[in-house]
Amino acid sequence: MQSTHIQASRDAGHRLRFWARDNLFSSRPNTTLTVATIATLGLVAYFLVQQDFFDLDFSVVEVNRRLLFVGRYPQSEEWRLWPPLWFAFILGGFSFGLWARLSRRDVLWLGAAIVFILALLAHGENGGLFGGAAAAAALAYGMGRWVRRDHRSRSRAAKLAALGWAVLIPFTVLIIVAFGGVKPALWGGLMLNVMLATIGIAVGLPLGILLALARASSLPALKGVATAIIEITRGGPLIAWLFIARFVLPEFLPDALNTDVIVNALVIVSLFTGAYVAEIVRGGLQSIPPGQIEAAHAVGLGTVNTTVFIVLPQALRAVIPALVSQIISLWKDTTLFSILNFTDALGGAQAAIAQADFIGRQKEVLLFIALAFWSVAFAMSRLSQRLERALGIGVR
Amino acid sequence: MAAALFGNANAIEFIPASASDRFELLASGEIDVLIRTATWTSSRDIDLNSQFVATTFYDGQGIIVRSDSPFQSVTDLQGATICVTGGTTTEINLQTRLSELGVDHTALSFEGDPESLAAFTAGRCDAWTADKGNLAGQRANFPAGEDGPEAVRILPETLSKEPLGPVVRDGDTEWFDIVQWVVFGTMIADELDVTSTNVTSMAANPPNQDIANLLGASFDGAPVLAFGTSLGLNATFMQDVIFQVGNYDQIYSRTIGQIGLPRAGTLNDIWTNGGLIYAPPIK
Amino acid sequence: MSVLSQGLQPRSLTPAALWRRRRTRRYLLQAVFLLAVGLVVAYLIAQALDLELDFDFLSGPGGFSISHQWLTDYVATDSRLAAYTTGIVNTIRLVLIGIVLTTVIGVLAGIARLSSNWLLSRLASLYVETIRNTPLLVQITFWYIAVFLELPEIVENRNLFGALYFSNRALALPFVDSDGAFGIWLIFLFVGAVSAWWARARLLRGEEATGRTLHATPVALLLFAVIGAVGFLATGFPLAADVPHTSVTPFGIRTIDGGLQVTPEFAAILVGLVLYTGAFIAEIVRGSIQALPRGQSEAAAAIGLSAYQRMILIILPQALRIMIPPLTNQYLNLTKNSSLAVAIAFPELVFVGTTIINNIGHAVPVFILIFATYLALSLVVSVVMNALNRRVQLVGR
Repeated sequence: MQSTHIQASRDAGHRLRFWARDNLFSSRPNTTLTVATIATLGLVAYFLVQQDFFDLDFSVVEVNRRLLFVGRYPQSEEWRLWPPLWFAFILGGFSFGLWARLSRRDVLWLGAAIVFILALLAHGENGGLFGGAAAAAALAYGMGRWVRRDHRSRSRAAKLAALGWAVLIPFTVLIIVAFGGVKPALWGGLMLNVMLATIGIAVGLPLGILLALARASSLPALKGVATAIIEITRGGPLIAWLFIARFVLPEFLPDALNTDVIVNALVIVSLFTGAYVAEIVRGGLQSIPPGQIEAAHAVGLGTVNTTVFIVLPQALRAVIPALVSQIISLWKDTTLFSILNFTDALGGAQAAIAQADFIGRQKEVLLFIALAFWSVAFAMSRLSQRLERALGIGVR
Repeated sequence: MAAALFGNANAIEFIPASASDRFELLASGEIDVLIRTATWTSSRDIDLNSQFVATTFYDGQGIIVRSDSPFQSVTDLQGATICVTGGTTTEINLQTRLSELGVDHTALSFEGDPESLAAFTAGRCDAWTADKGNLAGQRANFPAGEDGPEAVRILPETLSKEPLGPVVRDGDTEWFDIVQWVVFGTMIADELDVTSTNVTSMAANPPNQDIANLLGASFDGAPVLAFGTSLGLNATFMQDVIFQVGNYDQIYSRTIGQIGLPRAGTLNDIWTNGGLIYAPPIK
Repeated sequence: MSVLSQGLQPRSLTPAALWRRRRTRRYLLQAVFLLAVGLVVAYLIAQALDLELDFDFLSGPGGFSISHQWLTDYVATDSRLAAYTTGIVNTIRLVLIGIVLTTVIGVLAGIARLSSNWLLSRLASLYVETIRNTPLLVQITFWYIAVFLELPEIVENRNLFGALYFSNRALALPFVDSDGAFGIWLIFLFVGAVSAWWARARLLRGEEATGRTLHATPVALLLFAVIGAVGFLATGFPLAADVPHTSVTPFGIRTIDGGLQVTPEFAAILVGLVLYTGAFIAEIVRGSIQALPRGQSEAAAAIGLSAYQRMILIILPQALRIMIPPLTNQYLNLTKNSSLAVAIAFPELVFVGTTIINNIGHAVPVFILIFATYLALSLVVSVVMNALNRRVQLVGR
């Protein structure tokens, strides 16, 4: 017994040593690299410690969590946010259960994220509401797994889930705005970033597909206009477009459409996303072999039918990774709204930094914001990789 | 304003505007009246589709420095880096005045006050220039971690005249009149010593004709001069305003007085005490 | 030619048949579409006519000063056009230095990710995965207010090796200082470069002809060095080391003098842009290298090339062909992202443009100017990269 333990630990030691030899010290240049890297890391760490970089105090985040999560959104209307959140969580859990499986690592990451947010919301009732949403999502995941056993119930559930996703955004906007709700001008914090990104992609994606089809069309007028829209939009940086939404658009729009700067900015963001989506989709369209279209015409499908049922599905499937990158990029770009003085997450962070009590705590706030954006973006990029593998994109 | 229109001082939506986009917000109809530290200048009045209503605060541009710095006057700032909010008259004034004085300096322009404050406290700039009213407020709230208000001082010179007041869009004269007379009303109330505490009793039994005119009440059985009605408001709108927000002096001491800017003896004193706060009579 | 065609011909002239014809439908569709677009454009123009669309305001004096200048000497009394030009120059400086540095970082990180050294490859993927998935604006803000503004003031400055200064007023590195004869020395260097290039070409031809090794590259380098050194002596040492040092002005302001100085604003936007774009370039480099057949590297190893030689001589030149189009995209992104400097007081072109709008309005012409400038900058980047692409594609094909 004793000896096997020793044997095992010696084995582990051996393995570690072999591993180190193979991966760190396999050759003289390799050893030099390892040593140089460690030395550089040490130097950087020493410098950071000397600058008190690790002297962190996250109470600024806790005190300002409302500001960071919802900005200036009125507290009395906070209840409006929970039904959409629950809806989204349950839908997400159910869909994931239906189409994928959580690996042990997924559970670990998700658990860590939930515990982290719970710890942040520990005071007050929001913690319970959020925890409930997480629990409901877990339950929905279980249900999704259970439903998928049977082929018929599975296809019915899939339709249900698709319907759920289709109504999610209108439902959310309705709940927040309708019946004396909260005007978009008062949305804020991470919630604003999420709304901007989802609405931006929900409008931008169809718009982009239409623009791409128009640009690929053989009708010169359609092609010319679409090309002009795409190229002009892509010509300038997003921040210039947002300044246009604020400074110029109000002068052009008829009064009836001129309601809210944030709505103008959303229109601009959707157009911007649409132009980039259009270029991605165009790449997908070009990857479809002409034989496909000829074959479709040969079996008697018209131009519209060929496009909708033959060309688009294949083209979109081929560009899923690029589309997800575009969504991630939009998600990150929503922080630009802080330059327009909206209290999005970054705007809230800047407001928190300006508070007299927290002078000098900018690192903590910004690290928190960075973490929030990073975790969503990273999760999306991993999900996209998994989707890519599941669909076999690029393998054929 | 809301007290006058709707009888409720809270029936208003505040839209935060930054120095850089406020006039665009006004011009685009996003906001109806701009009450931020907006300086009345000829070009803004004429070119920016906006109209200044009245001067509610006579401010001037000043410069704040660290207490332990050697700067005693503006002319000491030779070679200094000065933080300023970009796209403002403050930025242009700084440039004009300091070059007149032959003070060679670097102006670092930021998006807004929070950024300027951050850069100034971090020591990126030797000085920070803004309206003195604003600077006094920043000084009063100067973070305790940076040794509080004593850590900074405001240089004695005033670089410019900055008459501040509400701004409305060009062309809407009725709205202009309403905003203007609400402002004048609070000034007249100050002059006549009508305050939020005595406004109700004064309205019930006005001591003289002027007060009766202001409050839309009847004096000695004379007919009521309902100047509120001609503005399209309640005849008694000034009662609501004074009751809910107070007269000019009360508003001053509740806001600007809090940050350590005294009123007595300054330009902002009432004209009867030698100041510039002077409203046309209600007749 | 008979019943069928006779029967068809008259029918094709009826309106219904005309309508069914594909070409007619196409024209009609386009006409309707153009009409709709035309209406929208006409509406926009009608609205725009109310605004001031002329560019005359650009000749008026700017009135504001610009804190960062490089090769320009704009003062507040100069025209707004001069102010805007200063903004353009600032953008160009940022983009030029940014592209060079980000390429270096990106290529190094991309190669490091493929390294057999576990530590190095893990470090590189940590860099790529964190930076790529975090908003650039958050990063730039972090670099500015949490790093460069938090550096000590010059009063208590920290200097490294007596020559590197880190302060929140400026970062300063030792640099070289040139005097008037520097230009003449540059001519020497140019002559040296041309003759070295000529010598190398000749020797290479000689090598091909005779089959003997004539050490073309070392000889050429030596020639260049000799001509350069002669010129350096002849012009009387035109360069001197310029080590930064601190001093106090008569008004009590401590400053850093000399050396190569970088302000916190420029440093923050540059570091932010370079690291962010570098993470994307690293992925491009990795993908391009992985796209090469393994046999390339194996064959190179078989003829006895070292790992370094394999990378420089065999792998990178081939990977470059795949890399250039996506790389061009990243350079264009960097160019457009440089506008995020508006958030941290670095006066690039959007910053100056919005300052002008805030001072006197005229938003539409200013934005037309801004978009035209970005269009021009993007065109320059694309043209240069396309030329490079053509060159690379031709080699060895």
